[in-house]
Amino acid sequence: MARATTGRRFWARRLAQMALVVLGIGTVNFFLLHLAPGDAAQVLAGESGSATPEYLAALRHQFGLDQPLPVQFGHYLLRLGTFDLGFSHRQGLPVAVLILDRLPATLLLMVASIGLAVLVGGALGFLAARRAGGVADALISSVALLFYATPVFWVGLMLTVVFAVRLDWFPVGGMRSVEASPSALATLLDVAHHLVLPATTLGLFYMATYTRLMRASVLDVQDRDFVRTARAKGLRSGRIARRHVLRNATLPVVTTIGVQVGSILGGAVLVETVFSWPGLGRLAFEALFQRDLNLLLGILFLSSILVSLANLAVDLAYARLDPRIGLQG
Amino acid sequence: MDPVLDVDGLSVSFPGPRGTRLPAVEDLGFAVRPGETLAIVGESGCGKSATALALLGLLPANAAATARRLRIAGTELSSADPRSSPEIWRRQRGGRIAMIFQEPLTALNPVLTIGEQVAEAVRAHELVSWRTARGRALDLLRRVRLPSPERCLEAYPHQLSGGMRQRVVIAMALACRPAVLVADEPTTALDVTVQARVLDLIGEIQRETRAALVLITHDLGVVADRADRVLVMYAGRAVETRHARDLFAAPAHPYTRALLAARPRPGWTGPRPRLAEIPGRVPGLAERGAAGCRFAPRCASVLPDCHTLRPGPRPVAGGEAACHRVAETTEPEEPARAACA
Amino acid sequence: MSGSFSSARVPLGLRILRRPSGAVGSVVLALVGLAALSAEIVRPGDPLDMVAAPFLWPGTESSYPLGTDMLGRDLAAGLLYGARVSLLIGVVATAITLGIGVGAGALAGFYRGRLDQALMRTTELFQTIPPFLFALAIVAVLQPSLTTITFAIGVTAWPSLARIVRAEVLALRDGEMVQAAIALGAGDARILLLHILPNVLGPVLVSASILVATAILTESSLAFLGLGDPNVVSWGGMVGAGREVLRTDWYVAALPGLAIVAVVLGLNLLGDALADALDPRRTRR
Repeated sequence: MARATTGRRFWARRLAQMALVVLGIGTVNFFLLHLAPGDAAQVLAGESGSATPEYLAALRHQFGLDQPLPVQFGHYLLRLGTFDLGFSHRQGLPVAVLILDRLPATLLLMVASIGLAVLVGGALGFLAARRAGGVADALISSVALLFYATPVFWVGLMLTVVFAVRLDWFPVGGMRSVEASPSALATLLDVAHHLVLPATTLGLFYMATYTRLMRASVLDVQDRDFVRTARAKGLRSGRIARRHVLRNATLPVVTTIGVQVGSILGGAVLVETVFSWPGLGRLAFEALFQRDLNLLLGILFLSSILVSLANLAVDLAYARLDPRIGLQG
Repeated sequence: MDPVLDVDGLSVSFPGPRGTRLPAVEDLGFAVRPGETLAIVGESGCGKSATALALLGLLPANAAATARRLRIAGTELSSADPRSSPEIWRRQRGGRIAMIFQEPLTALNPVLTIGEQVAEAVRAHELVSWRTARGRALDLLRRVRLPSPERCLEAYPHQLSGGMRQRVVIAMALACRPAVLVADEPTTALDVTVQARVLDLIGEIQRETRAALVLITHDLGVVADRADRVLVMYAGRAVETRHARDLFAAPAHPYTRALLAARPRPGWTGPRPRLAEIPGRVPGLAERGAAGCRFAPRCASVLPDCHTLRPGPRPVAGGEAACHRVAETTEPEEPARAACA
Repeated sequence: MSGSFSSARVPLGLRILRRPSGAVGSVVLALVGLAALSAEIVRPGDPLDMVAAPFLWPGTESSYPLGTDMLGRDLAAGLLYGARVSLLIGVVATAITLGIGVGAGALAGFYRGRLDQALMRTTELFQTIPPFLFALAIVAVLQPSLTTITFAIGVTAWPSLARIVRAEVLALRDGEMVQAAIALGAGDARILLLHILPNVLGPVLVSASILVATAILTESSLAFLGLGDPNVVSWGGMVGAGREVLRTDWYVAALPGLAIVAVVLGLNLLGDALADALDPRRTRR
């Protein structure tokens, strides 16, 4: 009974938060649109100069740009509320359609990178903490520090040189081979083959983060009283490490995943550009290149929504992992 | 009957500056028989907890423990280092010697259910399925008289009260019927009203299982009606080891007398006075010289010899005491004087 | 508290240099600073000019030890002048971030109540906007120049700093020192400036070193995507240009990347050493 009420309050709060995000990002976008040189109709048309004056006038009227700013602002927010992100005249498609078309590729890249980063980084950090002060610790910590300082796009280029150009183990870019694949399994393997380098590139930076985080977290948990209790019960060291130390040390890692989703999306722009991965980031780069600001701002808007949703997912996961945390929001 | 816990010459030290070793416990010896209760008493910093951890091989990695004899339930462990032979010690811990910790909230893992934490203690020493272990866990929770044990099995530590958590900690310690129970200040973190009930439970279980109990406390009041023998520690050394009745009738060491004087009178219902009421404080690890009696700077009946000569154990009624005064007066004229000074 | 440790009597600078990470970080940063200062002396002239034959590999021509790119531009000159741009943008953007972050965090923590609520909701909002995409959009809208790039990086990086400062100020505000100052009738501005801000300086300094590193990474990423100031040379832009000839002459992209790694590594090392020096208990971690 009580649980249902807190649950409802949690969802109400999260929904209000989401509405606030839509409102906030909408405001930011609106201001950016009006900050751009030239007027918003020209921005919406995609490129100043290419559209006819009649077309611009029609656009102004269609989007109410001939009306006072507050009215425009209201209209803009109303449209965002219904996920009407406008039309990309450069691509000839609605912005929302373009974005939804590219979203799966980015999600695949992000999930693969985060998975890689958390699993490998977590394992390395755990190992480093168990051998704290030893050679393995020094080695792991140094490598983590190095990758933590290396720009993502540069890692991508260097991996391309070594593994795609020199060794020819992986494709230079793209998500699928040109030839039509005979079966679903072959397609899957093909995509996986294309995914290795981009996911590794994006994953390496965050792997460094999770290595450092997990190391600090394990060192902290190892000293807690309940670990001593576990040893006093005569548990085998493997079970203490897995069930007691690791289980608790993972909690801050999970929190950090939520914090980093936004940063990972930014990294995706760079990685998708380096590897021609057909996702949101690549779309952002195209929009940038074509000065399609409305599309760019649409991507910014949707990315923020994505971050909110990811934070929600992380909060739900955390509440499952840590029984002390309810869904109070 | 032979003792199940037999310790002789136990020393624990920690690393000090420039490669020196600082003594936390020095040359300690005691033996406990099945069903018997030995209380180890002293202020904090006296080496009680270090002694307890040494018995279970749970000292931190930088500590070094040595003993001439350390026999637990028939196994001689003085030659086994917890680091180099971990499996020997692991079988002891929880199996033959178990510990009841002081702080039941932090002693339990916050993200695992009570059921799992008790059941894993069973599975650490017996080849049984999780299902069987859970059944045993339920029995154990019933035995420590936890209300609605079935529900507690599924509960997490934060959902229980302090007293209930301490019962869980006791249940975990009992999981494999250990021959020796070490209880390190088992009630300090609890409400006064719950303290007596938890101590009664420990005593009851001890009578049932014939376990030897080492009860560590700074509170002589707890000891009076529950311990068979008492070992009083000061700054890492045993100062008095006596049968409880003899100790309370005629404490031989000035430190014991001071401890007794700081104890609340019977019928006293106000806040319990702390041992800190003895003037001064226990010397830190780095301040402990080898010469003389460590209690001399705080002692009300100090002799010139006390500062230079380390008193050896001298026989007194029902045990021994390490004090230069013991030869002259076994019966103190004014027991309260030490505390008043 | 750190003040009770004997090491606290040693000056902070010395405590940082004593740690291996602090010493290495300081040396790396000193070298980069020297490179930025000496650019005009060592390599006078515009680094964007063509000075020699294109595609000179490093080590083949003694007057151009790091070789030239596809347009015959001196890579060594590019790296020296690029150091200026990176450091300048890194430091100025961080100053903007510190202004907003420390300001918002201090006000929220000090006044609490409604102001805190409003500021923290705003911070949360800005935390959901992916910072790099946000900076990218701002630069794209405003047209890339040193000013707009610095501004965009500065105004997108502050939310986490604001939270750190707020937490510190909240803790300090209830401390004895501040309570005593309030009891003596000191004004809000005086309390904030004299009693609270000096005490959050430690965590702010640690954050600042990481913020400069992040700003340099962001700047190079923007330049890599073609959003650099077209009038100055930037390491990220050099990597982006080198990408075109990656298959044959990978050194053009590799060298400026190494420069970025060195600076960011140096700053991170310094940040670690600073955090350790300010909190001796952290050393084990």
